[in-house]
Amino acid sequence: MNRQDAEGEFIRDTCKLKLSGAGGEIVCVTASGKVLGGKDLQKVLEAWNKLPESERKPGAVQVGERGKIDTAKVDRAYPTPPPGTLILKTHARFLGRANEGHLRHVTPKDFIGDDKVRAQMVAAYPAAFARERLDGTLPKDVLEHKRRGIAERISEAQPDFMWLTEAEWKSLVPANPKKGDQFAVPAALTKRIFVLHLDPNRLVGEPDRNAIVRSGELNLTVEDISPTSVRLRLDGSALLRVDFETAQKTGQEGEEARLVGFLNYDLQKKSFTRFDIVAIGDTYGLLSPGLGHLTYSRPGRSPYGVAFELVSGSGGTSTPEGYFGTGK
Amino acid sequence: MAATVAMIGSCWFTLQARADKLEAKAADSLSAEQFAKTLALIKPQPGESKWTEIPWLLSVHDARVKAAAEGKPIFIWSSGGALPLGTC
Repeated sequence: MNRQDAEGEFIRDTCKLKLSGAGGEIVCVTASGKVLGGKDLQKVLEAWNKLPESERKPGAVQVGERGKIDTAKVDRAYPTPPPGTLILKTHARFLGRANEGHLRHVTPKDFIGDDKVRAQMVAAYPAAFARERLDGTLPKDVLEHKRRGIAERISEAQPDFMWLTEAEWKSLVPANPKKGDQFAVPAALTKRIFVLHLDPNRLVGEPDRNAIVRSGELNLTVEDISPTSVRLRLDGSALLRVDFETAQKTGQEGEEARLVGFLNYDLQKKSFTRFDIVAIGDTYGLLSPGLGHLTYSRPGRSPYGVAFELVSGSGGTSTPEGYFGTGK
Repeated sequence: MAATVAMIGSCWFTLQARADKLEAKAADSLSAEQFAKTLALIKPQPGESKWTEIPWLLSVHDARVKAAAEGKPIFIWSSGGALPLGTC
């Protein structure tokens, strides 16, 4: 932890810890700075219970004043949205198809956790799978560990947020709406949705994110108007990287998605009260091979869904408390 | 300047589009009922993402104060350069 402030000093100097970077770390400590352990919480609890009660009982440790804080680092880590920002909570999720063709949740068997799926992928991409030893040469216990990782990590919805500045969300409100009016979502906003929120292949530090969008559009239609509100429907599509046929021939990856949304604008409050978007599509090809994400790759078309919802209270004069990082 | 930016913005997809770009078909659009079901399918299901239900604190100092007052250990989860909620 490279913060040069009281928080960093506690971690480095008191706990004698050097937390890892992008990969993340879990560590358990006492309020006084004794390290108890990591992810094995049973061992952490045992270490905690071995401490004298004089160190464990409530009030035993006096923490003192907060100390100097590097506010620039804090602001970068937990940025505060500008006043009037509209905040969308997003979830992205790998999906599967039931026998009838309906969308369903995935299971580990949809991925390399199933021997048949792994065999198909190894046959389609022998070099990539051999490089990561997912071609059957991994020890069985390691493969089982990866299967559990699939079940635990990528079967569930992946959360994120999207901020729209006041100017951006106001650009979606037609000045003199009439039922049936249609207009395009501004290109910059459309691109941001596609590039940052639709792509399960989003890589850390990918050099040219703009290049991944092959085509696409988002349009709004005024569905209904009342004295108090305007209801808008969003429709659109996106093609990222290459289409499915090209991917099958070249081994590249890509994604095709359709987007639908329902937005309600309150004319009296002058804010959106509903901003729901769903993107449903297929990904295909290898997922982030450079980051060891072959375990997420599936043969053929892999259904993928992204949901956007308004964080209640945003898009007005204040920012909703607790929306970011405190479990909401 | 503003006009130039708008021109670049409106041409961006035109330059990128392929001749066989996806067409929006009415039959493919989700109905309101299907939309609600699909939204619910994507979002966390009951019992999933339980880590989001934890009342995380964003300050080690605040965690120390609470842990000391309650007589409990501290669980620290860091990532992305040890900035839990920052960019990776």
